[in-house]
Amino acid sequence: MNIIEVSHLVKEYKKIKKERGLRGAVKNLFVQNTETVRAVDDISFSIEKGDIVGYIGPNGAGKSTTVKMLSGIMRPTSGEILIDGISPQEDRKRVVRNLGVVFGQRSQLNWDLRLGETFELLKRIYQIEDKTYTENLGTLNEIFQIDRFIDTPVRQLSLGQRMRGDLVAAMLHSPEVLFLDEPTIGLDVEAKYSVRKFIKEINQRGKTTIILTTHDLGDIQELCQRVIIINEGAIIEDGSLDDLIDKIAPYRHLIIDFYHPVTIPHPHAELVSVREARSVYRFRKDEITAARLIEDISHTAPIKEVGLEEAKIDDIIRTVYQQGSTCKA
Amino acid sequence: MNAYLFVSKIRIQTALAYRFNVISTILIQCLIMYAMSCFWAAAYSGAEKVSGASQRDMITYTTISVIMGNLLTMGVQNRIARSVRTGSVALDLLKPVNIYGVYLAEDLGDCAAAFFQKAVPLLLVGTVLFGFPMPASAVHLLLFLFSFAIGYLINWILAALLGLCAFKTLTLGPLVNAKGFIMKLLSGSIFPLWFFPAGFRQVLEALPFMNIYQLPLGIYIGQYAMDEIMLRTALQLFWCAALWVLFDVLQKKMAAAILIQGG
Repeated sequence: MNIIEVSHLVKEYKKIKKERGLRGAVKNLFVQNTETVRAVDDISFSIEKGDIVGYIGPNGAGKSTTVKMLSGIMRPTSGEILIDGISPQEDRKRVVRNLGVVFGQRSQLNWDLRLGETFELLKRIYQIEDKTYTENLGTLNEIFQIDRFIDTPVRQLSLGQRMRGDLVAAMLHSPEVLFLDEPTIGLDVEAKYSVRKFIKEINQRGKTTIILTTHDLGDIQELCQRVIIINEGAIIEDGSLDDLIDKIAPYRHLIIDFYHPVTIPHPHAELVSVREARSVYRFRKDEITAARLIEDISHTAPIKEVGLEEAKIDDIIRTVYQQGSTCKA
Repeated sequence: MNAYLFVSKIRIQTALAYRFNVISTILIQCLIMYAMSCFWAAAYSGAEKVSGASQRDMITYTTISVIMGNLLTMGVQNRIARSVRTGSVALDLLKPVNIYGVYLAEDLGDCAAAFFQKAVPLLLVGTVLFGFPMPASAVHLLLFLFSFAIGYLINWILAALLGLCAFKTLTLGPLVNAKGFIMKLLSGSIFPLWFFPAGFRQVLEALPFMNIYQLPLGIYIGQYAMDEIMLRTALQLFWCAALWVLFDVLQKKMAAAILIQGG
């Protein structure tokens, strides 16, 4: 079942063109030139219940704009959004009742009060029953151990603690859909690890559907079954991460150290470099397996050491971004 | 407890944490109260009554007006402007509540905190300086309270209307202060409108501002006859309703045009 349906979504806004210098400033007082910018340009996708989808793209690609429209806080210029069958533009309150949102760069926690006070407020805003509230808080605490700082004023929390607080705050009313906008931004390795663990757990326990916006490809690699890549307002890739890797970088590298300098060609692999006793082969995953290749070569000369190199995810995503830009230009 | 009430409660809790602000406000307000009483003493210079109000009435008027000023501080305009500029309005909109309801609850919470922290001490100081500012009668006191409540709403809606501009302009800048000064003057909070020349007074009485200060204050000191109170209160309710309708229409229009700042 599709919990999120987006069809032909467009968001345009007018940008005022400022002219340069004093003359320009005076001119701008009287005439303003506006240009229309398409931040989101005819996007369509649907997401199944219980999926974790990575929504990625370079800065200014239109990711946040999409998330803001999905959550009903910004109206699209045209197109339709349905969250669990309801349009957030028509019934914002009903949609957000079933939605959790965390902005990594913004906190919904009350700066001046202890962390628990914000939870108490949310309990009332979402009209959570006492029993459910205690249960939910208990479960979330199990994953995140927030009771150690639940009585600390929010302004005294570390970034990692604050982010945990924000994630718990977003999950208190057990929403079916969770939007995470850069939830690991600025966090140290340990905090990042625990945030990812949290995301995995709530996805598995409650079948929560999660849309994750991030620049940290480690998040994507560890969490997402599917990635949607957007650039300049349009979707340029949509599929599983493995398929994407196969498509963009179907090659792998096999590094072999022999006991003596030798040159051994192979019909299904390209010998990229030979330096003393080390040879590097490039091969396609769909043509031959690494095991087969090693076996074939070891018939000719004894092998001392092997290493396998996968394409780096960062490079792949960068290639996709660049392709996306050139396509449009 | 209802979510809006809880918002008010949180605001009271937060306000209690800031003491310096309270002490400095009370000191300044006492000075203003004292200066105004000196002004009225000089202005009356022994005259029995001017426009139906005695010097004693005017001192009561000033004392209550200063106290009201502390209760009628509106955060909503800056709250909206700040939320829009920083983009945190997104977080407000993500809750299944009416955001203006939340803003009103915040202001009412501040008002409740100001009552204990500022209004009560100022009333005590006023009583020590000039004697207790007595209302004309118990009935007048009740009518005053009702009129004050409606005046509060009118004042809030006017502030919220100004706040709505921020959705378009992103900042309010000097507009907030300008509005503050104009309101103080036109609402009769410093000088009652009955001291102004007839023509000017009629213009000012046709505007909604006098409903915020002068009407409740006039009722308190017994400046108006009963039938006039009824008529003016009806008019005040009309203003409140009309402004509310205007606000509601504009707020819906604005919701369609909201742009959230920042990535």
